[in-house]
Parts: sequence; structure tokens; C-alpha cells
Amino acid sequence: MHSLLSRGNSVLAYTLSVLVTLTFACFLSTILVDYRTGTEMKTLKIEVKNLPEYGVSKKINDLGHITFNLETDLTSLFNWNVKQLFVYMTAEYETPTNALNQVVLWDKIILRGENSNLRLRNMRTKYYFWDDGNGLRGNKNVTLTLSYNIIPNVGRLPIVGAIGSHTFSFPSQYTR
Amino acid sequence: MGKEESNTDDKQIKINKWDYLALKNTLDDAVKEVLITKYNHVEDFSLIDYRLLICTFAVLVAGFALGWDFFNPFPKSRFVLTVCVALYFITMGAITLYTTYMEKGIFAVTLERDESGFNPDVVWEASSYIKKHTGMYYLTMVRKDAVGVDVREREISKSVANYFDDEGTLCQDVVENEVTKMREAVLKLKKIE
Amino acid sequence: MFDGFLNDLKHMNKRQFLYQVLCFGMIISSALMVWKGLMVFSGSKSPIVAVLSGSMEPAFHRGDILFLTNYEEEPVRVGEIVVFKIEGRDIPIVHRILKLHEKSNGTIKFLTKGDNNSVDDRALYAPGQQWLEKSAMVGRARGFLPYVGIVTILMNEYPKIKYAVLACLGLCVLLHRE
Repeated sequence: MHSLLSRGNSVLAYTLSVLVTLTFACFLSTILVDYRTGTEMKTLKIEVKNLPEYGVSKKINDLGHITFNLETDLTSLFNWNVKQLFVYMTAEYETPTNALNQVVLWDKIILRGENSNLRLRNMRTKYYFWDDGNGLRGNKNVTLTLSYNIIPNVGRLPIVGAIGSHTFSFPSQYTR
Repeated sequence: MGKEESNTDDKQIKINKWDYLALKNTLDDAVKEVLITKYNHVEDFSLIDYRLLICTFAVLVAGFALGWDFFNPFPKSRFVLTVCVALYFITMGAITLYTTYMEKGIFAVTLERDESGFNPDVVWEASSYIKKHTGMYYLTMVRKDAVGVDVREREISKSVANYFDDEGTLCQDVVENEVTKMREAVLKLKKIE
Repeated sequence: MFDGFLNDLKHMNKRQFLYQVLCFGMIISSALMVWKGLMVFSGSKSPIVAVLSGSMEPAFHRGDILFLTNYEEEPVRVGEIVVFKIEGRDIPIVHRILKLHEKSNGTIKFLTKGDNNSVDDRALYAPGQQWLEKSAMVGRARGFLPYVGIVTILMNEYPKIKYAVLACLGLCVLLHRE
């Protein structure tokens, strides 16, 4: 009666439409979830140096050195439409050269099923804290914030800021 | 089937009888053929011509948008693109409205000329559809006078099996018979006041 | 099957054939206008991109699809996944912003890094280039759909498939009567 081709065609079309519907339902199911949680951060050692950024330019820039504690529990963020979290800590400050500076100091990828209760003690930054110029020494208002980018199985890619931040100042003397 | 067969007998039309679309198209063509050859009607293409016109317009809008975007790359072409996209989808909506409310499945509009040349033309509209899974072919014929006051209508529904043999070959004479009967019935109908 | 096509074609008149051609044109132009509509809506030149490399794994794999927006008024911030173009490279790159400096007049410069790479992207930029500017940005990733982009990747890697599919579709639409 019907040819193999037309049967295959309708089976394929039906499978595809079911898949599309399920995917869309998955996307819709988590569209309104509030992903905010709290965090606590603390800086321990704070130093600032004045060095040329090797391999990038010969200009002498400020380089911050900090160690920090970080506590946050991200377990509650995982639902069925969260594949991975990209957690990152940002230092945000103002300098005479730039109205806004944002530097990511540390980040971590947490896959579903991995430990998402973070208790970090005396951590060193993962990336160098280079300023664009000489705006770190004596800077009184450097704010650390924690944000996370939620990577879903399908859907939006929201960036959420954790509640809580830590503000610190750099010493007014360069460390040799 | 090859060319030779269709050359030897041009009237023989054989189709895949499980293909609803092919069934409908073949029957529609046959009905139109009877109206034109047997009763000397003249086909009036204005209904299909308007559809072609709208479609052409839609394609032209898309072509213009493509050309404009090519010569004025995106951020610059934003306004023109917005207008074109809106216009295109409005046109698409218009085509859908036109086919559902104006054409309503009408596949042939033919004019019956008065031989004396005294009376205006009479308009015949033939429309059809096949109900899926039942295989019923619904054929409607409407006869209108030029002013649109005298409208007579008749519908028949017969299984497609009536018009085709087991091999899927169209029985032209059956179609001709049905159309003749319908035409007579329409002519006999009383004026709808 | 092909006989059926020829049969259809034989019984078409001029208007029907013209309509077939127009239908084919409308299928293509509908796809085109949906794309242009997305461009207008998202503000980005390429509102949908396929991920071509594994540099953002495990978040994005080769063949995943990203939906982009590029609204002028929305500020660019660190941590966002951006798609950018570098002079001398045809293929745009999808990476995350690591550092950003914004002047008081609003001009920004930023540095990117792939989640799966151990160092930042300065080696990928044009020689001597240290920062990206807003003009390099194609868009920001706002939505994610896995696997679907494999089709595009296959088609780009084996253009023969692309042409074969296009030719088949074209023949189908042109010859098979509506």
C-alpha cells in the first residue's frame, strides 16, 4: 500500500516532532527558576607589585597578589536542566584610566554530580591580577563578587550573581 | 510506464491510486476537461492569476531584502530589513487567506458564452476535496449568472474507486457522465430567491 | 517514483508550472526572511551559530548550537560568552570574557579565554593585538541547543552532501504538483 519511503518518512517526521516538543518542554520547565544563592568571601594576604607584563607589553603595570577564602553551596542550583556551572570570582574596581575594570581572578567548572559545596581556604588566584595601568596601589575600593553561568541541557544561558560580596583595599606601598 | 505507452494512447492516465494528491489533481483536471471540451466553456484564469501575483510579490520582497542587505551590510540595513520582513509575512498571511476564503478549493472557473451574444456570460465554478481515509471525492459545481443574483449549487460525493479502475487508470467516460449529470441537475434547480 | 514526477510534469499547464516555480521560490525566501527577521530581532549579523571547536568543553561541544543577541545598549560584562571575529580569520570564535576595561566614554576593551584552554586568547588574536574591541563582537550567547549543528558542520565539510540535498529538494518541489 504505502511505500517503504513514505512509511520511513512519516516515522522520521513523527520522531522529530516528539523530540522537538520534549526539548521545548525541557526549556520551558526551567525558564522561571530563580538561581540566586549566597556566598561568603574573605581576603587574606593583599600585596601589589609594579612590573612589566612579560610577553604582552613593555609597559609597567600594577599586579595584585591576593589570597582568599570562599564559601558557597551551589548544590541547590542543579535541576534537571543544568548540565554544568561555570563559577567565577571577579574583582571590580575603578581607576583614573578606566571607569570600570573587571578582572576574573578565579574560576571553576562544576559538572552535574561533582561536589558543588565549595569551602575554599587560603586560595591563590588562578589568573594574574594585572591592572590596565597603575591603578591598584592604594585603591580603597576593590570589590570581589562571585557569579555563575548556568549551562543547561537546552535553553537560556543565564549569568547569575551570588548574593554577598567582599570589598578590600590595596596597600599604598609596592611590595618588592 | 514509459513514453511509448503514453504516446500510443494519450488519453490513458495512470496514477498511484494511494496518493490522494495525485487522485485529486487527476480528477480535477478531468472535470475541467469535460467542461471545456464538451460544453465549449472558456477558462477564466483571474482567480489563479491573482494568487500568482501575490506569490510573485512575496518572492520579489524577499529578493529585494537580500539585495539590499548585500549592498548595505547588516547594521545599516536594519530598517529596510524590518520593513521587508514584516511585509513578507503579511503577504504570506494574505496568500493563506486568499486560498482559504477566496479560492476555497475552486480548481476551475469557466465561462459559458451565450451563442447569440445577447446574454452575458454564465460563470461555472468547480471545487473539490478528498476526505482522507474515506477516499470520498466531494465535487461541487456552482453556476452563477453575471450579476450574481442567480446562484445554483450542487454537490456530489462518490468514492474515488468510481472513477479509477484497479490499476489506477482514470475512466474518462465515468467522469464525463458524472459531470453531465451534475450539469443537468444544476440547470434544473430552481432559482434561489 | 521518478515516473510519477514526469507524469505530474506532463499534466501541468503554464500557470501550474509557474506556480511550482513560485512555490520553490517561496520556500527559499521564507527561510531567508526568517533568518533576516532573526537578524533584526537579535541585532546580530549571525543570530544562530554552530560551535566548531572543543575549546569551550564541557559546556559546548562541536556541533552544538548557540543563539546570539547583540544589543548595543546592553553593557558587555566579564563572564559572558561572546562570539567574535578576528582580522585574517574567517571563522568566528566562541569564548568567554576574562578581563574587561571600560573607559568613562563607554569604549571597552576585553580579553577572552576558552573554558577548555589553559591560557587566554592573546595568541589567537592578530599579531600584536592585545585586546578585543566591541566592533569585533558578533554577538553574545543567550541560548543553547545541543547536537543540531552537526548537520551544518557535515554540510560544510562535505559540500557534495549539501548540493545533493539541495538538488533533491528543488526537484521535489518543482516537479511534484501541489
